[in-house]
Amino acid sequence: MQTKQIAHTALLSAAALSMYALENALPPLFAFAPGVRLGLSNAVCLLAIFLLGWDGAYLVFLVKSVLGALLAGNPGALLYALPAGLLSLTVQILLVKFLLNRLSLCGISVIGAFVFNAVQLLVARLVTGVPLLAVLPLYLLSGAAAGLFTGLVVYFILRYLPRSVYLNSLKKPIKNKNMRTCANEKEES
Amino acid sequence: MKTDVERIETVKKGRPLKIPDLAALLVILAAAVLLPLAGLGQQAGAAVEITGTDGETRAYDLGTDARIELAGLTVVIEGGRAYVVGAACPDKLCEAHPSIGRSGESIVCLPQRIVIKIVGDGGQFIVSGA
Repeated sequence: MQTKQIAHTALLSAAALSMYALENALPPLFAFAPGVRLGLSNAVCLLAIFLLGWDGAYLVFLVKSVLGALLAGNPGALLYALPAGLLSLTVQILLVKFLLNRLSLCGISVIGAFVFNAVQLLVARLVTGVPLLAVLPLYLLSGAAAGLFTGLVVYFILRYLPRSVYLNSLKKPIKNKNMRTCANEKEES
Repeated sequence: MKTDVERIETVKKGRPLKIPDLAALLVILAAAVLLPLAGLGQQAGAAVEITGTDGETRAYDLGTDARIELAGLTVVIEGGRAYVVGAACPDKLCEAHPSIGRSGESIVCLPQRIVIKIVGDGGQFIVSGA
């Protein structure tokens, strides 16, 4: 791993962790369903798939989840968040890799949120033994809304991200006449 | 296989929402609406289990209409469903909760530490201690 990539991974992990902490500090959106969140830190994970590749995205997710749960004083939440998050991230990575031409970021994010909620409820069902199907519609609806929001956030970040930020730092940069590098821009100005 | 730079360019050129995205959204929304209509595959419950402030659990037959007065709130059993009235807590969340009648459904009153839960499959539950 190059020094640059380590720095970028650390930067995005810190961003994800900040979002996680911020969201934890806010009161729940619905009093009767404390698990319903906007998932802002997942936006950073989705962004990491593009900026760091799949391995970096997993790292950002693991750092965010483990440190976030420990800092929030709730390591028990990892029991639900880790399997749900890992599966959701894997699905999103596969969608980004193979279906980016068909799906937009919103779709990928919505499907990711759906997988996350489904796995989380499944684990909760296995652990507590209480049938949680009654709350499934609520989680499906809130997951779709949160996924849509997260997808839009990442779409606009990527859309307005200057090429100079990623062109020289990403793995396997490609040569293209239409793309201006950081050095070119400096020469022109 | 595309490089990461190419992927970002794809996103930059693309629209924020495409037709397949809307299809995925519609499927999820349809599932959210249809699942409760299908009754979630859960059977109607047979009894109400109420765990009171003292930690003791008592069961009541869901088939017999009754009013159970507890410290702080009253549970009403009516037509095979149970709901809460007269909550003494300020937020009255449990009162706002829709009535419950299917196995596994519950109403929780956090301030009073009272849990009202539907248990058993229709007709198979033997009420004890009532």
